Amino acid sequence: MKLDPSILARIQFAFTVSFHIIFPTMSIGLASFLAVIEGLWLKTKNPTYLQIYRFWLNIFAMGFGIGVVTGIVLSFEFGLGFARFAQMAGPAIGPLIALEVLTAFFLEAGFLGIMLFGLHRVGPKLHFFATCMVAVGTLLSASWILSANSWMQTPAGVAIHDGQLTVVNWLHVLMNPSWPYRLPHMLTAAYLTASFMVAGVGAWYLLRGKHQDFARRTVALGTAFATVLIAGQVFIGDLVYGTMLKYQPSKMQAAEGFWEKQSQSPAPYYWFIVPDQKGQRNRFALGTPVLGSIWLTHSLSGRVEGLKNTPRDLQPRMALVFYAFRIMYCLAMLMFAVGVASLWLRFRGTLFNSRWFLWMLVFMTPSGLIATLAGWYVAETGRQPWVIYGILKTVDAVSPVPSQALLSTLIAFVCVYSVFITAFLIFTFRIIRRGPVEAPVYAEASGSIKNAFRPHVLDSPKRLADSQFS
Amino acid sequence: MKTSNLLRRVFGVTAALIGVLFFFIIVGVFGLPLAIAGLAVFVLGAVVVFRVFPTEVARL
Amino acid sequence: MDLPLLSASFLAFTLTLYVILDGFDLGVGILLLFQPAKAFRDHMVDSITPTWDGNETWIIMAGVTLLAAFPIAYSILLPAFYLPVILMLLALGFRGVSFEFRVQSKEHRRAWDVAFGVGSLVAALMQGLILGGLMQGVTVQNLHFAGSVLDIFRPLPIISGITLLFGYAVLGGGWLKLKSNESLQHFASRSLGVSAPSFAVFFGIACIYAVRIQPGIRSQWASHGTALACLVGLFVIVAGTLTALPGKSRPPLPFLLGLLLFVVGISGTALIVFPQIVPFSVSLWDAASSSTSQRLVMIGAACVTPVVLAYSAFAYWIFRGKTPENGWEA
Repeated sequence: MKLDPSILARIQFAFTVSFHIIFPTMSIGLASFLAVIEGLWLKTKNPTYLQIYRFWLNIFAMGFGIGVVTGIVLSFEFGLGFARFAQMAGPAIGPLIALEVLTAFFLEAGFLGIMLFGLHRVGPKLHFFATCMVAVGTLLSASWILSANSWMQTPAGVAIHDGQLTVVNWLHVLMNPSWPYRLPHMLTAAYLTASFMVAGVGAWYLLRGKHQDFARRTVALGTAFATVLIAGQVFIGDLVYGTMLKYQPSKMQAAEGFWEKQSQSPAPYYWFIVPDQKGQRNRFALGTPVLGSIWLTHSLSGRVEGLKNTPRDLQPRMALVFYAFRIMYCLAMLMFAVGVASLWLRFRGTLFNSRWFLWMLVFMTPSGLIATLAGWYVAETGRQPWVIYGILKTVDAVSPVPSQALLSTLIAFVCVYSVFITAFLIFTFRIIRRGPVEAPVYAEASGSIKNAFRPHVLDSPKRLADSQFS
Repeated sequence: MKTSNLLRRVFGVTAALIGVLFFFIIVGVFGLPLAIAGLAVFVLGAVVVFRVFPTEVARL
Repeated sequence: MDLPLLSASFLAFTLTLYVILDGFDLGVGILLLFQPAKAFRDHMVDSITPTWDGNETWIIMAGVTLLAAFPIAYSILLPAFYLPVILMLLALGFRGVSFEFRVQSKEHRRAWDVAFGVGSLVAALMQGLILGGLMQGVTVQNLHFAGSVLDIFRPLPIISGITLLFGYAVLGGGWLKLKSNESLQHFASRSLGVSAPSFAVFFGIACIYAVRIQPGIRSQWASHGTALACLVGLFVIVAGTLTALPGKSRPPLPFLLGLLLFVVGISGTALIVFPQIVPFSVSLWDAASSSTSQRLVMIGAACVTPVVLAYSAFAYWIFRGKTPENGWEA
C-alpha cells in the first residue's frame, strides 16, 4: 500500500495538535480562574474558596502536565514532519516561539512548582503571586503562539529571496493583520471553556444535592463569567470573520457553503449541506431563507460569494471548513442562550433550583473545548492548500521522511495519547465523584512576604491528607 | 394561578426574543457602532443583574 | 559582531543547562526502576517534582533556538533523527504525565512508576543515540537531509545511548545523596558505585569508536589533541574519584563531581563539533538564518535569560534542603 507522505504528515500533525490544544485551552482558562478564586479567598477569608481552589488545582495540574509534554512534541514536529516549512518559516516564527519559551514557558514552569507544592512552604501572598504568575504565563504563551500561527495565516514583514525568508520588520511579523483579532478570540475561548467546565461540575453537584456551598458558588461564578464572555466572543468572532474575509476569502467562501460566484439574493443561511468538491456544487443543501444575507452581508438582499471565486487548485475542502464552522457557531449560539437564561433565572431568583437549566449546564460542560477545537479546524483546514498563506503550499513543505516511518509514528502517537486522555478522564471523573475536600475550619489567610521566607504551616495537613485519599 | 402562569410564559418568551435581538445586534447585523453599543449595554445589564439580584448562596 | 557565533553559544548554553538539570531528573527516574520499596520511590519522585517542569523547558529552548537561528540545521537534523526524537518525545511524555497520574492512583501507582522509569530510561537512551548520530555524521545533500531514518541504529549511536544512560544515573544518584533522607543514601551510594565506572568505560569506548569511524573527529583530535587528551584524562580521574568515594562522603560532593563529569564531556564534544553545526558537513554560518532573526533571539535571550535564571533559582531555593519524608503536602 503506497501512502502519500504529505497526507500522513498532515494527519500526524493534525492529530497531535488537536490533542494538544485541548489542554492549553483548559489551562489558560483554569489558571485565571484559580487566580480569581485565590484572590477571593485572600480577600474574604471564606474557606469555601480554598475548597474550590484545591479541587480545581488537582484537575488543572493534570491537564497542565499533559499540555506541556504534548506541546514539546509540537516544537519538534515542525522539523520532523515539515522540514521544508521549518527551513523557510524558521527565521520568522522561530524567534517568536523562542520568546514564547523565554517569557512564558519558563514563567509558568518556574512558579508552577510553588503553586502546586508550595502551599505549606510559602505564605499566602507569595503563593497567590505564584498562581498569578502561572496565569500570566499562560496568557503570554497564547499571545506569542497566536502571533506565530496568525503570521502563517496572514504573513507580513518578510521579504522572499531565492526561497529564503528574511524578516524586514519585526513589528509587522508580530502584529500581523489577523493577530489583533485572533488573540482575544482564543483567550476568550479559553476563559469560556473554563467557565462552562466549572459551572457544569457545580451544576452536577447541585442536581445531586451535594456540596451545596461549593456548587452554588461555582455555578454562580461560572455562569456570570460565561454570560459576559460569550457576548464579547460573538462580537470578537464577527471581527475575526471580517478580517479573514479580507485576507483569506477562500476560507470564508468554503465556510458558508456557497459555490456560485454570486449566490442568489436574498441568500439563505445553510445549516446542512452535502458538498461535492469535484463537481463544485452541493448535492443537497438545507438552510434558513434570507438569514444568510442578514448575517453575512448585513443587508436583506446581499449576495454571498461562493467558493468558485477561488481557483480550483487553491480551494480548501468545503466539507471540513463548513461543518467545523457550523459546530463552533451553533455552540456559540447555545452558549449565548445559556447566558441569557442564567440572567433570567437570577432575576427570578431560581438559578440553583431550575433542574432543566442545571441539566443544560451539565450538558454544556465540554462545550468550550468542542467549540475551540472546531474553530481551530476552520482556521487550519480553511488555510489549505497553504501552510504559509500565499507563500508556501503544504505539499511542498514536507520532510524527506519515508511513509512507513510517518505511519508507524502516527500509530505510536495515537496509542500513547489514548493512554494519556483515558487516564486523565478517569482521574478527573474520580476527583469529581469524590467531591471537594472539606475546608479546614481553621484555614487562615494572613501573612506577608516576610513570612514567606520562613516555612509556615497554614492549616492542619493531617486532616487534609486523611480526607483527600480516603 | 392560570394568569400568573401565562404571564410568566409571556415574560419568558419576551426575554428569549430580546436575547435573540441582542445576539443579532452584537454579531454586527446592524453595523459596527451599534454592535459595540449593544455589547456594552449587554455587559452592563448583566453586571447590574449580578449585583441587584444576588443568588441564594448558602451562608456557612 | 558575529551573530551566528553568539547564537551558537546560547544554543550550547541551553543544551548544557538541559543536560545537567533534566539529567538528574531522568537519572532519578532511571534509578526508580531499581528501587523495590514504595515509600522510597515516593521519596525519590518527591525530590524532583517541584522543579522538573522548568528543567525540561530547556530542551524546548534549545530546539526552538535551533529553529530560529539555524533553521537549515533544524530542517536537516530533525528528519535525520526522526525516529529517536519521536521516541524521546513519547518517553518524556510518559515521564511527565506520570508525575501527576501516579499520585491520583493508589492501586496503580506501581504501574505509573514503571512508566515513569521506562520513560526516563528511553528518553536518556534516545538522547544519547542522537548525540552519537551527530558524531557519526549525517548524510547531507544541498543543505537537505539525504540519508535514511534508519542510519541512526548503528554501533556508535547505540554506545553513546548507553553512555548517556549511565551518565544520567550518575547525576541522579548524586542528586539523591543531596536531597534524600538517611535510608536512601545507601541506595544512592550503591547506584553510584555501578553507574560511575560504567559511565567512564562506555564513554571511553565511544570516544575510541568515534575516532575510528569518523574522519572529521580524527582531524579534530589532530588539531586539538592536547586539549582533548587533558579532558579525557580529567574525566577518568573524576570518574575514578566518584567510584572510590566512601558511602559517607559529604552529600553535595557526588553531585558536584557528576556535574563536573558532564561539563568535561560537553566541553570535549563542543571542541570536536565546532565550527560545524551539522557535523561534519554544515558550518554554523551556512546554516544560519538572516541577521534580523538572530538579533531578535539574542536580544530576547540577553534580556530575559537572567530573569529566568533568577526566578528558577528562587524556586529551587523555596524547595531547598532535604526532601520531606511525607511529601510536599505534609
